[in-house]
Amino acid sequence: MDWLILLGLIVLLLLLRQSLVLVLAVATAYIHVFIAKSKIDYLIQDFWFTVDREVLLSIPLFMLAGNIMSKGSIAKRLIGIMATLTSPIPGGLGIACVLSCAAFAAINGSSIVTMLAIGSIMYPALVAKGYKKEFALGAVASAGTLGIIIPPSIPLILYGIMTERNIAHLFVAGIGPGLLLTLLFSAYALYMNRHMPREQLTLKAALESFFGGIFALLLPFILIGGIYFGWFSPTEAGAMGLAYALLIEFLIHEKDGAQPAPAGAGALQKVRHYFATREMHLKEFYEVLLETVKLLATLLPLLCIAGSLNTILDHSGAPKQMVQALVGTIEDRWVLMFMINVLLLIVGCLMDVGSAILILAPLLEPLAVAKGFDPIHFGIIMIANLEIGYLTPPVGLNLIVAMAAFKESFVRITKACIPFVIIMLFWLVIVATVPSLSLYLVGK
Amino acid sequence: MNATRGLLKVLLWIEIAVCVLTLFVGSGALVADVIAREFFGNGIFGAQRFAVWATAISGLVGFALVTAERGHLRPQFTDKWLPASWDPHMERISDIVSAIICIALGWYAIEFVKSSYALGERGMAIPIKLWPIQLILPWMFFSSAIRHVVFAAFPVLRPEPKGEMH
Repeated sequence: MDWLILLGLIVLLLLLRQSLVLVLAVATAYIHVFIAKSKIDYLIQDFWFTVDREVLLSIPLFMLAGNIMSKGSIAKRLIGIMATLTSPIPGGLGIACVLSCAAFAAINGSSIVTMLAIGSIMYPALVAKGYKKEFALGAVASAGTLGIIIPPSIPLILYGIMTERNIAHLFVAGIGPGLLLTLLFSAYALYMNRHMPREQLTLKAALESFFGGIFALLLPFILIGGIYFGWFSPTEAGAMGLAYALLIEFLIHEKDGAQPAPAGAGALQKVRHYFATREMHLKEFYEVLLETVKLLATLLPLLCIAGSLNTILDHSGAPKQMVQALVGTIEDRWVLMFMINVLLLIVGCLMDVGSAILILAPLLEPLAVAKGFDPIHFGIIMIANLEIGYLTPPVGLNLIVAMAAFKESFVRITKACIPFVIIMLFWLVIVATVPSLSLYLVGK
Repeated sequence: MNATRGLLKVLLWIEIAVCVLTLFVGSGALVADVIAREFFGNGIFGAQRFAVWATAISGLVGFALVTAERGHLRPQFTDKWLPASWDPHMERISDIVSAIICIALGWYAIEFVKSSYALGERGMAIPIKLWPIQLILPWMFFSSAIRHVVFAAFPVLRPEPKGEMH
């Protein structure tokens, strides 16, 4: 009866147009008082205990670094290198779009940031070069989702926090599936654009784009290499990524069309001119900080409430009972995995990735582990499912953001993504059924 | 209404300053700590703890900033379950309900800070009293409540929503 009242309360709050964070707060308060027979005070205590933990520190760092990279010219320079390298291949720019998203995904942890940073340059370029609009839209929206499977990844950090699993292992486990999806998308881009004219690759153009983007290109190697070889923890990788991004955007990368210093300028004037012609200045940095605060402030309270919900459910023993009941009812582990995948795909259509992880990861992970799935592998399966949710209506965030960014209708973008979603479903089957794809690099 | 608009502007300005500054110094402390550890062998004492609190301040006070621009994620799929003619009233009712929830949570947050003050709780690594930092909890809820009350009283001051989920 208590659970029915809770459901009714949630529906009522949704009808009253409450934000997700307030709906969850009231629902959690209700569970504290009426189901767990504890006190609302604990909800606020849990709020504090959730934010008072070092493990959260990597989130603002990756958010801030991602926003700096997106605002500066790192994305543009990565695209320059990929476009030059793939120019001799038919449909090379389509492949360059996928590879640029993969490279950008390897230095930031967000799908939306990846799609906007690469898509805002790639989409008009693809259309101008004669690629079909449907392909261009589908490619930028879909390849943008690589941002959350290729490390660093904010959803993987959230999964690690909620299930208390090693975030560095989760990052390393995301490399194989991320590379496979990049390969599948690239193959599709090649097949679809096989009749597009090739372009000649000259050594001069290759060297120019390489040296123009060398500092941007080093970043994925530093971050992923650092995490893989154990040089950096995820938080340290976030700090290094942030420091490196600030360094190259404030001190090294030059703005397009910057004029040389006036002839006869003094040393001080030359120094001033040098800083004035860099990609990022204090004003842009302030805007990036403010943008990051808003992102963090949307996520952090949700994380606090999910933390409290997790604690109280754990205390009440409800997830344990659910696991025991389901494990007893469903004998075949693959039937269970299939059902979890279907559930996650449906959830991906209706909820944003962060909320889905915060609510479902602590419930589903023990279930999968009880049936013999590796918890790190399951984390990757969960993120892979929710990654598809970025492209499925009604709450496919990449679809919604692409609609605003590329000024196209929701229906057109959704249709453009269908072939890519089919590829992703095929990829999901491989990710779920071949654990070594995720676990080989982790050493399991 | 102009006085209210002015009050909201000042509140927004203060909160932006607090959030941006804490995120900046918190991230800076972490970067400095990691660089010191990687290159000089020793990190900076207390930097991680300081960064945790700075992040908490930035993220939780930022809650009110997101409320100010109506940027919190809101599932919209139930909007069509009620007659469209109710829409103008629903916006107001929504803000009133949000304000009530925020005030209730703010009240419990004050109780939490009072108990922390009474117990004299101190931080780990940097053993300062925690209650002044914990004041961000009532702040985030009451500041959001103020905004919801103002939006309900003066709908013209309510910005277009940014966080709607279709």
